[in-house]
Amino acid sequence: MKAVLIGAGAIAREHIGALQSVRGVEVAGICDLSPAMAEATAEQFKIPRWFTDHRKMLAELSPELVHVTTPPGSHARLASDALEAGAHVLVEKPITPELSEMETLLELAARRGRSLVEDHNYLFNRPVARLLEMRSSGELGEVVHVHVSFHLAILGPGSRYVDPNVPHPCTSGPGGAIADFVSHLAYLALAFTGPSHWLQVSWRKRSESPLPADELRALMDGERASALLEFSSHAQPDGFWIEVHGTKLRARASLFEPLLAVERLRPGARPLVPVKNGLAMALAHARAGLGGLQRKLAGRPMSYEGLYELVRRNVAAIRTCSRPPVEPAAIRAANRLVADLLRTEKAA
Amino acid sequence: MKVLVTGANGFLGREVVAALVADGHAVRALVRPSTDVGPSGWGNQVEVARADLRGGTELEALFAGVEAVVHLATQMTGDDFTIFSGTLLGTERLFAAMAASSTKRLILCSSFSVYDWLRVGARLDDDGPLLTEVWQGGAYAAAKSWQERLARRMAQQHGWKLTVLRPGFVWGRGSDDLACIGQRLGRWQLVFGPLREPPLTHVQNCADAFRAALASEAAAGATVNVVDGHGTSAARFARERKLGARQEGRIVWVPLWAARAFVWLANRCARLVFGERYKLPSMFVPMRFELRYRSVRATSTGMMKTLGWRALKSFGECARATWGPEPGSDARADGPTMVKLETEKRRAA
Repeated sequence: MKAVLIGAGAIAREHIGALQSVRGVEVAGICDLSPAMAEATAEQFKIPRWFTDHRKMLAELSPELVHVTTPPGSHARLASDALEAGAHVLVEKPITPELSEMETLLELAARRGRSLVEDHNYLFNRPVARLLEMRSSGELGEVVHVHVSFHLAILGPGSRYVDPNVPHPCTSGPGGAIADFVSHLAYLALAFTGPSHWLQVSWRKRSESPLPADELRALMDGERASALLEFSSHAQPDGFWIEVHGTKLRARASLFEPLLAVERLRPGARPLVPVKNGLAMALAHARAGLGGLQRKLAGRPMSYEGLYELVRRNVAAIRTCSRPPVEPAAIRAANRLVADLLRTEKAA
Repeated sequence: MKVLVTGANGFLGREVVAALVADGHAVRALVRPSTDVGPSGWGNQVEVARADLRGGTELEALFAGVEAVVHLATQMTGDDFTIFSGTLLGTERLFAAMAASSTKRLILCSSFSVYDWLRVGARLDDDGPLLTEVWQGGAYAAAKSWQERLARRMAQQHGWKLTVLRPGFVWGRGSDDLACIGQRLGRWQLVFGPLREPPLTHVQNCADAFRAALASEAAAGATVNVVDGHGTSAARFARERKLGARQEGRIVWVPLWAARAFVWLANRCARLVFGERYKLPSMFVPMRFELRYRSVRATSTGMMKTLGWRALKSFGECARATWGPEPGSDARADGPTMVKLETEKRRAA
């Protein structure tokens, strides 16, 4: 399968790695507005052709799969051109800044009989995938509540989100830098709660910075369960995790390390249950710490492991003409929740 | 001559601006918009221009009346991608703006990191072997290699007179903890290969090399190393630094063969345990280890023969400029902050 990328920024490198790891996929071209970045990336990853005009690349290479990894403002135009050229498309999150553009793209993909996938990579990290399995198999019981938390020091020195010299593309829109992360919070929560129908949001600015807000907490009620979505620029240390509260167990999965820690109802004497759970949690944390280090030293993907799995499944779905790993309904639900969240920041 | 200096507020940039001004040039010093230039002491001959090469402001106006560019700006902080893309995009935008102007003279600050240190022999001159896989040397080496590549292409396309200067390890006041000496381990300063002579250049000597390159017509088209050639050993540098910077802890000499054997062993073990795609900290990457610690006599035939340049200051003068009293401070020359060089003490004894 011939694949190409539009955009040679930081995230493109993960996409290239993911695509090149799938047997039978050839990354045939890369396009960027900067000729130097396009050429340098092509050379580094041994991609045979590079372009500065995506239409020329689409016409000359006729790729079956296009990954769009540019800033969000250009997604609609580029993905639309790729779909019109007859390619399947995977777009970085958020698929488009506007819901109307997303609908236009989804309709175009359906009309052209091509798949359009938004990158919901963290759903495919192994600990989260295991959580989803536990839900499907009934091991979790019914999901009561989900807590998704992202703590990242984006105000620290050297952060591209607060670089006063070259403002980050996200910082000018609603939600500022937090908008760059909110898609992850949304699709992770929605995978367990179902579509949202009630939302209460708190935006907060704890310290002086060019950002409109640096803390977000949102309580959301979904079809099946409630969720608390949180982003903090101040809480330390950095971490990103999802905690699912079920009627049979409580499980916490980390997106930065290979951690899945479970507290469950256990048979035997009640006073011993916290001890057994404590030992199981300690063991899970120790294993995750060592596993993370081992993964780093082995040069394997860290927090982007889910992207590799998503890309593998997407390629398989295209080959077998089966349902894509992220379906239009999930893309719509996530982007509607994101739009609702960001609307509240505008109002605040 | 009116000269545009990028990265003018950096460690090397401030000295280059001072050297050019002292040579009678009018300097347009480019700094990032948010940079606090502070009491630079640059005077009237320096016009401070504010722009970020990576984006935002259009750069064409910077070239008005400019006859030469000294391009020092490099993204030094951030992760690998930030260092690489920041340097490359900034350079690309600068060169595009220069191509639209009448400026034809370019002095580019490159680095020793562009050499392939696994192929460098006992002696390294200006024509040393270059990296073929530029990422082997890390993000900084890749960025510097690409900067050179872009500069050469643009020079050829637009008829620019290009001089590429590759400084060794630049040191000076506020930047004397050099990677090429060894590693800090708690209270111990490990010095790898104490007798080897690292390719050092003091920031004031290095700045003077840029001045000399700009002054010389013969420098156009040349690519030259910048090293002081004082023959200062790693051991001597570490001792002088400990004394001058009043560094606490002990200096521990580690033979180069032992450090190299340790790195070799770490790589073998990592390959065995983690497979072919293993990753180790940069000091354990053979290319970067050799860049820092290889025992090599680095010279520059180009600087000496083409430009007739010799290091402006001796090692003793550089040491005093680095660890002695701040210029303009009240400390007496023989006061408590005076640097007594080890060699001078021995001579006195």
